[in-house]
Parts: sequence; C-alpha cells; structure tokens
Amino acid sequence: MRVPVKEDVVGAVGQPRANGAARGEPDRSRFEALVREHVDALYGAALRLTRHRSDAEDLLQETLLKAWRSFHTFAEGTNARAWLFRILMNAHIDRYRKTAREPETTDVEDVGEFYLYSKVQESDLLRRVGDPEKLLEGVMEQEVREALESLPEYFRSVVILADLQGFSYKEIADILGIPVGTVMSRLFRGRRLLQRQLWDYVRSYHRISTAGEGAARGL
Amino acid sequence: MDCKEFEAKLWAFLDGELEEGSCAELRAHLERCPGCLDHYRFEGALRTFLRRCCHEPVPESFLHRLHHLIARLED
Repeated sequence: MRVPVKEDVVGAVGQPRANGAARGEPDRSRFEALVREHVDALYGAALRLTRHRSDAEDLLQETLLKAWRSFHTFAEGTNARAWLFRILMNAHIDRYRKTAREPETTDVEDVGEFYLYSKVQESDLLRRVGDPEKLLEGVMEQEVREALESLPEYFRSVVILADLQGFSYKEIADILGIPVGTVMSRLFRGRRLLQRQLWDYVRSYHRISTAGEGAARGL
Repeated sequence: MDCKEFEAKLWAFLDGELEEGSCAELRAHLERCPGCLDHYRFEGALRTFLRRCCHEPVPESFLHRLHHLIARLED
C-alpha cells in the first residue's frame, strides 16, 4: 500500500482547485490508496447496515463516488477513516430513509439493565462451561451477525461504529452529527439489546429452559 | 467504589472514555473484586468475539471492480 508522502500533499490540497480544472493522476492514485486502506472496514460496516451483500456493495460504491467528489475538501493528515465513515453513514441514512419501515426509537422496548454476564452467572452456566469465551463459542458467527442486524437502525449504527470500528464517542458524534450524550445513550441501549439477543442464542445452545433459568438443564 | 458504581462505568472504561482519575478508581476496584474482574474480562472477550464474527473482507470481485471504478471517475 502506498502511503502518501509530504511532497504529494503540498499543492494538492494547499489551494482550492479552480472549478473544472483537471485533477490529474496523482490525486487519483492518492484516492485509490486511501480507499484500499479502508475498504474492508467500510464494507464490514456496510454489510451490517444493509444486511445484504449486494446492497452493501451498492452502498460502498456510492460512498466512494461521493468521497471522490469531495476529495478536494479532504485535508491530508486529518482523520481519513472518520471522513470516509461520515460519507458512508450519510449515504446509508439517505437510502434508508427512502425505504424505512422500522418503528421509531421510542417504540422500542427499553431492556433496562441487562448484562449477558449477569445472566450467565445467575444460570450457573459459567461454572459448567469453564470460561466465558468457551461459552461464546457455542454461538454461531451467523447468529452474532443476525443479532447485530436485528437492532433498530439508531442503535445499530452506533454499535457498529464503536464496537466493530473502535471509534471514540466524539468521533461517532462527528460522523453521525449527533451530541456525544446521544451517542452514549444509543450505544449503551444498543449493547443491552444486543446482549439480550445473544443471551437467547447462548441459552438455546446450552439448553437452558426459559422457565428454569438458574436451574440449568443437564445435557 | 462499589460493584454497582463499577458496573455503571464499565463500558465507558472499556471504551477508553474515562478520565485518568476514574480509571484509577476502577482499577483499584478490579484489584479487590474478583467478580467485577470476571465481568470486565467477559465484556472484553465479548467485544473481541463480536469483531471476529463480523470480520468479512471485501470480496475479490469488488476489489477488481474498484480499480476500474476509480479509473473511470470523472475529474
């Protein structure tokens, strides 16, 4: 992968480009290097956002077209990953709003305090299985993806940006254009919903009946 | 700091979003509370697990298209 060197930067982003001026190959190759560096992360997020491969590829393509159009406003040395994710999220929100069928956030039940860990402890599962990671191994990758994809849009975006991409609260606030406090409340609520969903999978894998939580059934 | 307070700050702690003063309090609690240490480790393992399950590199076919796509971008 080609990392842009200082010499490339001077002049390329120093002055605003006159309208209609040719952009030239250096710009294009800098753009391609940037895209290649972040394309896997963008695709991973797009998959969880759209839930379908073909939609994820369409969203990714649209993101790259939009990124290219505003590439001249992107200042080298600033947070490229956050810039690309902001474009991705905006493109997703535009597409999503056209077809949205999901209920508003207020319609979603608040699960209150919910920690998968506490549920596991209460059920004696951890003592039977040994360590937490072993317990998680019983859950299929596909189920984990489904659990994440089942989260309402508001929560899913924030969980994807924080837990899969490792963005800070401030970065997520900038990417989504919402206050940091909103990021935190959506993130924590999203995590509780996700852990509740995962608990259903863990429970069914380890055959704990809903009625007898705490009294784990032997295999 | 008791377990309830620890739990309330656990996620922000794992997210690296707490100030050093709060982090020190949480670390001190972790040293003397095996239960919360277990919980802390579990949340960390869960996040690693989530990332691993969701790690899907972009398909080769898209990478091939990508170069052509960028070459065709209008100036």
